[in-house]
Amino acid sequence: MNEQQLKELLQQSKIETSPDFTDNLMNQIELTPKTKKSNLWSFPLVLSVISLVAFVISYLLYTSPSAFFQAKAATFKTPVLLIVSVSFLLVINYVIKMNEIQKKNIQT
Amino acid sequence: MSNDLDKNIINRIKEGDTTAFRQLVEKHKDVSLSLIFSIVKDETVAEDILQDVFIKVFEKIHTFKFKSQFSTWLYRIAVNISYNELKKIKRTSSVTTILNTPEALVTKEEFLKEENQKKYINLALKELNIDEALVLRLFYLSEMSIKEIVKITAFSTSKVKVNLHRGRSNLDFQLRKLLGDELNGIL
Repeated sequence: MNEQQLKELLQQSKIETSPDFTDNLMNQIELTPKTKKSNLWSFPLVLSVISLVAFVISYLLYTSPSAFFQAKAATFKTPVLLIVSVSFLLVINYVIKMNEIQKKNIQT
Repeated sequence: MSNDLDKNIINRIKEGDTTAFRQLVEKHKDVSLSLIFSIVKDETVAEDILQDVFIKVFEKIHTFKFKSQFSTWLYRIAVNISYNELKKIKRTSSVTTILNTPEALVTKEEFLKEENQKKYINLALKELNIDEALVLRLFYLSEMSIKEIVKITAFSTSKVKVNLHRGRSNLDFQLRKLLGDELNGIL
């Protein structure tokens, strides 16, 4: 059997899908929820921004050589850190809720 | 030409034209199904896998950067999913597949009927080792180069060449088993 004969034979081996294959597939694709996430509420992005802000505040309060921040840190260290931590948790909670709402809106 | 057409269709899909995906499916479904069938050797299972393949392609098409031909990318996904499904099938099923090989030899006249040709060639291919049948179909049916087959299957170049060589002789052997000396008259 030469190459050409083999090629002709194997061209015959093409298997066809059932007649309604494409319709079923397209229906399924149209039913698949579009779960493209919005970059605005991207969890890693928001987490990075919040972590950066928390880091800057902590740095200013604890290690900044500035006399202004050292004076402030002496009085407000604990309340400020508490506020930063609570805000941090609230923002994360808000982002998670926003993502859920967004997903529901896309599905409906 | 075919690549340009694929590129055009893919760009339309990326712009949000879901209906363009239908064109892509129509163009590639039969060859993809044949490749999947080489691995799972069951038409119903192969069609289910093909559906999963196209859904995955639709979900990931925005990541396709035209660095290779679309068909190479598509067949790679199809081959990967098929091998994974085959592993699952082997794990869950202990039933051995009984191939539907006809006992009697086929006559030349019977083989020459178009619908029979397809049936007997597929029967012969079904008897081949999975890798051999897949490589043969990729080379002769999809007209892929050895380099592209390496990309699609993740086999080494030598493994592709060995499977191609063995596949050719085994297919010849299987067809002779089905057709006897009639094969010389047909080819």
